[in-house]
Amino acid sequence: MIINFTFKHLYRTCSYSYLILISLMLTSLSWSQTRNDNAVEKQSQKNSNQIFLSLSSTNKYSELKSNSGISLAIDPNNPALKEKYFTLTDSIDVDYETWESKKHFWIAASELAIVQFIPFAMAKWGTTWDDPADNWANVSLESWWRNISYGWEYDGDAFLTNYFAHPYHGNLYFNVGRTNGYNFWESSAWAATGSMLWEYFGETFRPAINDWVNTTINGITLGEVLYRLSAMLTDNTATGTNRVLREIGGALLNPLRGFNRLISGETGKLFPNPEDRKSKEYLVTVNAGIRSLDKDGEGDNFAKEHIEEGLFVFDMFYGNLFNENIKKPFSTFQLSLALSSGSPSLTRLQAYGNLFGRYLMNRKNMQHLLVATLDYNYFNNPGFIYGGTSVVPRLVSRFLIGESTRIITNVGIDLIAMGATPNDYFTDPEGRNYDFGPGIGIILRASIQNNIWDLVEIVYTSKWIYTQSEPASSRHNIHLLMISGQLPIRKYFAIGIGIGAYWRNSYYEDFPDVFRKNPVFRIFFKTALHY
Amino acid sequence: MKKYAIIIIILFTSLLSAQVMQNKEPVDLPASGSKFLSDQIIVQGLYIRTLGNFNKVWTSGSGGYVSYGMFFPDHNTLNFQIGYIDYELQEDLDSLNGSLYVIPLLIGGKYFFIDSRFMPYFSFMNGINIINQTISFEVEVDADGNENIHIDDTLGDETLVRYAWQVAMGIMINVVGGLNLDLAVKYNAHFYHAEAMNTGFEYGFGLVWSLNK
Repeated sequence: MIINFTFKHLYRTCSYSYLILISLMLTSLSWSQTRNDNAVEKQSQKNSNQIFLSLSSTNKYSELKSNSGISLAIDPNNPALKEKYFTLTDSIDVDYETWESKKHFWIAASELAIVQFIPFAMAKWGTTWDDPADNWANVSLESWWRNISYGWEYDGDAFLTNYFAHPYHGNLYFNVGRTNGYNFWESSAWAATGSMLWEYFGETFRPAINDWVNTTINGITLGEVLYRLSAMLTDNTATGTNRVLREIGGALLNPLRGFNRLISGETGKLFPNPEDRKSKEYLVTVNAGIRSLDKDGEGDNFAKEHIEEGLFVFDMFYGNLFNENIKKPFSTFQLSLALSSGSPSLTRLQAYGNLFGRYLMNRKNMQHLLVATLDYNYFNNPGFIYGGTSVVPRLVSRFLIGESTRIITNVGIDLIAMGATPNDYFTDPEGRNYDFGPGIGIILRASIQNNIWDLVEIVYTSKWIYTQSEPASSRHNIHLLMISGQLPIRKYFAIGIGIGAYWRNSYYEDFPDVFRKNPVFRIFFKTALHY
Repeated sequence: MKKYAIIIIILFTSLLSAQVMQNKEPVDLPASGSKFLSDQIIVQGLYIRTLGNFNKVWTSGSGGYVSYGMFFPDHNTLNFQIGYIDYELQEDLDSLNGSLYVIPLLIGGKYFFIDSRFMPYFSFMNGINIINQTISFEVEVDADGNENIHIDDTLGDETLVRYAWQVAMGIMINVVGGLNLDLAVKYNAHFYHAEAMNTGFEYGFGLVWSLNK
């Protein structure tokens, strides 16, 4: 539980960390860049034509720019040209053993301690508390023993803290392991251990089971997604401004990876990229438009009760389930982020990736596969709140009905380890107005796709959440139905429309049941970067 | 008597099924060529000292587990565990003549730090506890933060299902062939009631048969 440790504090923590990291990185890069430039200069002085390099050797053709600004494209594998020109491949250390090729337990443990110490120190010494007794960082042997003796509880923190700040911290714990040579499953143990240590020994409050589950499992999901995105962005063979920007971008996405590249000297070193740096294919789309939704969920007067807000949505599809090795965790994943012009700004964050899977049928025109995914869900808008941490076994099918047209269906059973949805009668003194509990649900999705566009898409999910947090006398059945269509105008541009509704039926033992229905309508423009 | 019958049935069926599995399956050597680690069958006795509010009513527990560990290279096992735990009332509540026993059904993993004759390990298990009790209690916290315990001994038999969570440090010592001794200290944080989690330190001693060794 992190009381009063809200997004603002998280933002401040991250800002300081990033500032330090980026300063170190710029210094290191400028130093290594100077070193590289000197090396290149010395080498090029040996060449009569004074040619300098600018692009990575992973490209089939390296571009050479002369001092006069003329660009040439040469094949670096051509031995005749290699003899004549100095190429970047000469300075790439092909025998270099990467930092992540070995496990660094003590460095990982130290980084875990630092990652935990920063928010702890900020609360203990960097925050002014009206009542010093509220300072949750005043831990002692007595508070540790009390936490061990009394065990778990459900905390009273705000939704944003529990379903965004904690998963983000979990991502850091996960990446402490992941960027120090541990694989996906081993790094999951780092996330679980880091979260457990924080819950028992980092705060005076009793350990919160909802925090442990959300920090660990959602941290694993976010952690692996950010690890892969960071690896995708950085390029070990790049030089110059390109390299600097890539390293900064990678470190912003994954500060632990940025830090470890810095201390290992990889930030400014030229060495081969790992084989799995990028998925075989990926798709990035952004769409922007207007969302109109019923905010109070009475459902009988949409025209009067609706609010309109601008909505910006970023989607990243990494890999393709039908083309990747789906036995490898997160060889494919989807990340979706929605920002609203209203309040709250972060209105949706979802990520899911495959844990393992197998093909049932793999014919030219029809494929079926079974895959289990790890799902993180954060929905927070004026009409609907839901947080989820799930494992979802899915049956995914693809039917080719044209040269580039296909039908995709997706049927999943949502096994919810920790779900959260509003309670209509309860507000915790610390601000929590929603219930926690495990649950089960179904996910149904069907779409007709043409190239990169979902011409028509229907999504329906229904979940039961069985409340375990106090007051534990309720259960909730929530539904989401969304039908949308996209009309491509140009190769990378489409307009879209969506209509649907959120339902929530909440059943209380001690109070009248509550049924809410929030219709929602969207119109948007969409563009895509497809590789 | 009923309790002992349940223990014997659990032990007997688990061992029997493991034996049947052994007879049916061809012998598979571990892929990694590990020295001492392989699939395992574990039989373990246990004693628990409870903590917190739970300790104010139930002071200790004793029982046993049977588990099957599936080996994954290089140092891991995926464990399936079933057991039986009988809890003891506080001495001054003996007159209530109550009983509480738990059947834990747990799944989790062990990480062995080294693969040698002495194999220290860390384990995490979680799952559900099927709890049977004849008396129940609740803890009320008043406005001053004082905790008052209310005991209800009129409910008869009540069965609850609650989430169970356990971490442990232990050591497995190879004695001869596939036979090993197992010693472990575990921390339990099982769910029971909101203000009275079933927390405690558990001490285990057992025998481990490493299959295919």
